[in-house]
Amino acid sequence: MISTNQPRDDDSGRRSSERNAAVDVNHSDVARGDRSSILHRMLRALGGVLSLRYAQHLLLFTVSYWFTGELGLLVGSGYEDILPLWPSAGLTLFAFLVAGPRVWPGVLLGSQLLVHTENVPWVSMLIVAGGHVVEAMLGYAALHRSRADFKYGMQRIKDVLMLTGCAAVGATLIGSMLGTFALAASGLVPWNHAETVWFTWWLSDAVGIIVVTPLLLVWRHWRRVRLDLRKVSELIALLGVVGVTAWTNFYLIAGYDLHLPLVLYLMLPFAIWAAARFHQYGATLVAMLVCVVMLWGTQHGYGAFAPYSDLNRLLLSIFYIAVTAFTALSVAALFVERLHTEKALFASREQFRTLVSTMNQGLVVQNKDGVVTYANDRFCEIVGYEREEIVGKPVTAHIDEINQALWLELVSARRFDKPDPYEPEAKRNAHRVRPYELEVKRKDGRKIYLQVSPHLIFDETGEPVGSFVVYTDITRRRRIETTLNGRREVLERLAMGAPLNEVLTILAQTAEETRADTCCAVMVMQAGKLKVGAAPSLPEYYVDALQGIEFGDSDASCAVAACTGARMIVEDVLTHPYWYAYRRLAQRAGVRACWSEPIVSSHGEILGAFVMYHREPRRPEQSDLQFMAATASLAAVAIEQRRKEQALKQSEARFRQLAEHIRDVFWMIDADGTPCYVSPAYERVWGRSLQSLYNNPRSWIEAIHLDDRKLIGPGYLNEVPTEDTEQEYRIIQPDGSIRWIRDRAFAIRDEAGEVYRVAGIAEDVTEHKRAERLARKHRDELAHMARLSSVGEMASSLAHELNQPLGAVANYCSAALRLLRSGTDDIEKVRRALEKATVQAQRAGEIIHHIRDFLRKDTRRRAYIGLNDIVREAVRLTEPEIHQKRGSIRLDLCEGLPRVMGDRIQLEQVILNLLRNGMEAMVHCNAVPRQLIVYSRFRDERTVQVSVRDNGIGLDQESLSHIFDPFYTTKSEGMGMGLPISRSIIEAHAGHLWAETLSPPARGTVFHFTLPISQERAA
Amino acid sequence: MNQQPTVFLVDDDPAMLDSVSLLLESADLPTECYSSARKFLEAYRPHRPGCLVLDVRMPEMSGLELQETLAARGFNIPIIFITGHGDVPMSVKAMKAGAVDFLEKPFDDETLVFCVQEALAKDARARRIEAQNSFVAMRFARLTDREQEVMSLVVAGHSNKEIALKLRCSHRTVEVHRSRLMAKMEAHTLPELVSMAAICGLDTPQTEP
Repeated sequence: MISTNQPRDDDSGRRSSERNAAVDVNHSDVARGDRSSILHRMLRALGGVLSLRYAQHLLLFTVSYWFTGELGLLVGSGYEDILPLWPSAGLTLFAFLVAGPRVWPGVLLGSQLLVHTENVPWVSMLIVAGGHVVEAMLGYAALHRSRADFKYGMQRIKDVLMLTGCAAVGATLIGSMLGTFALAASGLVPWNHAETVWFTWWLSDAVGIIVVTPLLLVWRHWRRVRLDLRKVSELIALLGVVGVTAWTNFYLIAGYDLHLPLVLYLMLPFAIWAAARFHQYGATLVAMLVCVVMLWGTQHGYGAFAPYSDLNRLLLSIFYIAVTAFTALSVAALFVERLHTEKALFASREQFRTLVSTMNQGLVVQNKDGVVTYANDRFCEIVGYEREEIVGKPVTAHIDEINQALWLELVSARRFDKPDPYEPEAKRNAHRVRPYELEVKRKDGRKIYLQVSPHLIFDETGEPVGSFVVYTDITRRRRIETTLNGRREVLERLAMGAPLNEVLTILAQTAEETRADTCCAVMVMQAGKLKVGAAPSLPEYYVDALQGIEFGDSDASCAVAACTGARMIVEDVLTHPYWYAYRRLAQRAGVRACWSEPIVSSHGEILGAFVMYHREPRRPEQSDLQFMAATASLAAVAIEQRRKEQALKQSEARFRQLAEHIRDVFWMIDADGTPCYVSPAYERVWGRSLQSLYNNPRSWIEAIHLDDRKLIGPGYLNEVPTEDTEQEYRIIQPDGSIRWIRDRAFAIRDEAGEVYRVAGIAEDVTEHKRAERLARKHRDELAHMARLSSVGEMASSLAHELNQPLGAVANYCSAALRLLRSGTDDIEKVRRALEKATVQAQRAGEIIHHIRDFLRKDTRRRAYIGLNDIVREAVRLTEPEIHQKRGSIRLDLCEGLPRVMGDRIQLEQVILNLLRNGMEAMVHCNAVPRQLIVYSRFRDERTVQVSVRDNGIGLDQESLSHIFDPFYTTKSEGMGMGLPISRSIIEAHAGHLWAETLSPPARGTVFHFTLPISQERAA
Repeated sequence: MNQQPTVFLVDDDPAMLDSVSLLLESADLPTECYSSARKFLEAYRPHRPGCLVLDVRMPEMSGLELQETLAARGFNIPIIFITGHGDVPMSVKAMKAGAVDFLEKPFDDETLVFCVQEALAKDARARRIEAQNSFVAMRFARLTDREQEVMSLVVAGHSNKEIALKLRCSHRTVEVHRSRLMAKMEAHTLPELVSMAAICGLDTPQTEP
């Protein structure tokens, strides 16, 4: 019995919230030996039983049992040694519950003590004790069933019912039956009295348990009871009143013949009072008090039950006690239970309240009609209304009219949306209200964005009774989204090449969308003035006034911002000095605050200003400043980018204008030879369309003259030149005309030094070439002319020089003759005239002499010269003239002739004269063919000889002797000076010039001249 | 008026200058010699009759340039050019500018003398015409305004009657004016008066329609 009960005790102890220390020890011991054998467990249990603490408990229990037994006996013996009230039964159950059933020996020991003190027959006492042990065991077992969940505090109805039903009524029924049977069987009680004995026993034990066990269980922790003075006095008063009432009932009133129930009912209000006010503590006390007083009175024959027989009187009072105790306990439990529920409810409500008030979302509860029944602080904060303004009104009263329709639609659509459990999942989800976003106007007019998540509330029957709406303020998120979208759009437009004003307008619009109640403007610096780049929502007259503010104008805050590069915050334009000049304008436009942020490029150059206007005086918050800085930097990117593009475009346009208006062909080819740009001049110069070139890049090369293609080499034609080259070649236009091209190519290298492109200029130099050729011809002709004119000049000068003295001579002589003819006698005069004539004649002779001297002595321009070079030069000069006269010149020059000292021009003149002379001679006699032969050779080791031979008619002897006389000529237009001068020149060079007529069969004349080989050469 | 005409010689060559001077003096023609054009310009006075024998080719100022300068100053002295060998364009230019003759050196003495005498005769003739013209002008200046008016109408071929009608005066008055102006102008006949009017620059007025 012991061994089998032990684990159960441990189990109960484990479950119990009110285990004592001994149980703790046992429990830990047993737990340790959980896996050991049954024998081991038994030994352990024995050890536990024999422990000191157990002994103390046992002793305490035994004494208590004995004491309560004495009390029971004091109340009075019942029928056949069966006591009417047995408080020890309650004590036993309490001991079993608190200390465990192992204290059962206490029952036997206590009863034996009673036997000794009260002279009760010990056998019957033993049997009765055994019965008590059984009932306590049964009660303990019933309460400690694993599913019973019995709590010792007796605070729940459940606990009261369990104690009463299972332990007090059920267990004692069985115990009393067994006990009675044992008594009867052992002959201690006659069988015919057994029924009465059993009934008395059962009843007395049941009442004992009902009255005593709760009292002990509850008051066990009497220290925990916190009673203030008022409570204590109330309790004392209560007990006093109960005592007095009971006393009155059972002692005083009993003397009168009153009706029984009236008296008995008097106790109930007090029991309820105690239970209500002091719960289990009061209830148990009152029950005990009533019990004591009742039994005492009954015992002594007073009270309501006095008129009945002993047994009946006893039984009735016991009934009465049991009912009163049960009622008091039940009421107390009800009160406590209710109290607990209330507390829990309160706590949970507090939790909910805290949750709702601290949540970051606005929460609104609405009824079926959309009227707000609750709104949390956050919601009030979000929409800016007081709670009183919201609660009791439809939420739409405060939500923007635009969205009202949406809201109503939503609510009406959802209002009677009863969830149907039989609907398929998808369909049910379709009915679910999805969160949506709203733009709402706050009380102060600011626009905010809310995310609304409505939830419909249904009652038990599934009817919708209202909604539960969570509002999340997503203004910030929306603002960020708008900002980001705006930025993206700005950048997209920028990338797509939209005009700057458009980009800036989008920028300003985005800023206005993002920041509520602002007007934004972007000012752009252009040539030292601020121009309005974008001002989408400012009035036109205001924009006009802003146009062209001078950079650095101290009367405009945006100009100041732009000028100084610092942020300029004007919180109120009416009071700010910078706005003095614009105050009227600002008033008209309704502008009160103006914040300007300079737009600064990445190089620190100020590009303009970003300006935000407000209708109210306002100071920017940190976020505003950040926003302005971010927007300004975006604007800077836009402006800078557009400026760069513009510069690029302009430079491109300039380049294009240059390239397309230049007369030369400007070309550019990629490394693979594909033409990437050829200027339109190509069409003019090449005579082919540009398109044909792009279609067939080889057509450039194919146009080149075949001879020149060889000349410039295959490398140029087939490969892209890798270094700067210059080529000249001819091209053939489609119409067959030829043009000269000077083509210069420049290799363009990348960072790695690789040629990735070649640019070039192909210049049409045809005209240039022609001009060059003409110029050369002219130069030659001029040289020729110069030579010729120098001869003419000399002749003219000579004539004049000679004319003077000759004229004078003639005049003197004429004068003398006239004088003589007139028969004058002034002979002296005639003589003087003749003398003067003589002087002049001598002077003429001197002039001739001087000329010869001059030719001989003019050695200033002499140098060492190659005779053959002079011949060639002279031939080159005369060739056109010769050709014109259908003649030709053949050269037969001896190479390696030594150089001679001489005047190049004079000697050329000589050869020229000889050539021209020969040619004229041939023309004169119509010789065919008209061929001149010039040959040079050594005459001897000291002289060289040049001969010019014609095949004219030749000269007769007479002519040959005169041709070197001055003014001798055979030609009509000749002056007759060429050959004399030539001879003078040659003789001045220490040479000889002569002529000979060829003897037949050869025809013509040969002129020879010789020149001495220069000393330098000879030396 | 009865001054002896002089032949002015300008040539940079002293021998030429001397020989020509001697030659002309042998023909009883007085000469003055200048060795450059500038010296001649400084010394010359236009009232002196005579002619100029000028060498074309001279340093500083050539003969042609001197001719231009003289023409520019309004001196109409006849010029004979002498040149070493002149070309056609130069001589044409000189003759157009009023030269009397163009002699090429060496020249025949008879030719020179003849040319000089011709030039002197031309000069004398011109001077005489000029003197006569200046007398006529003096006389015309002595006429009253009314007489000048009447004279212009007379030389225009109007009869006395017409003139009286035009001037709104009597026939008699016109006759008096007419006889008086004829006396003052020392004109004996009407054609004489007409030629005088031409000298004075009186244009024949347009007959009214």
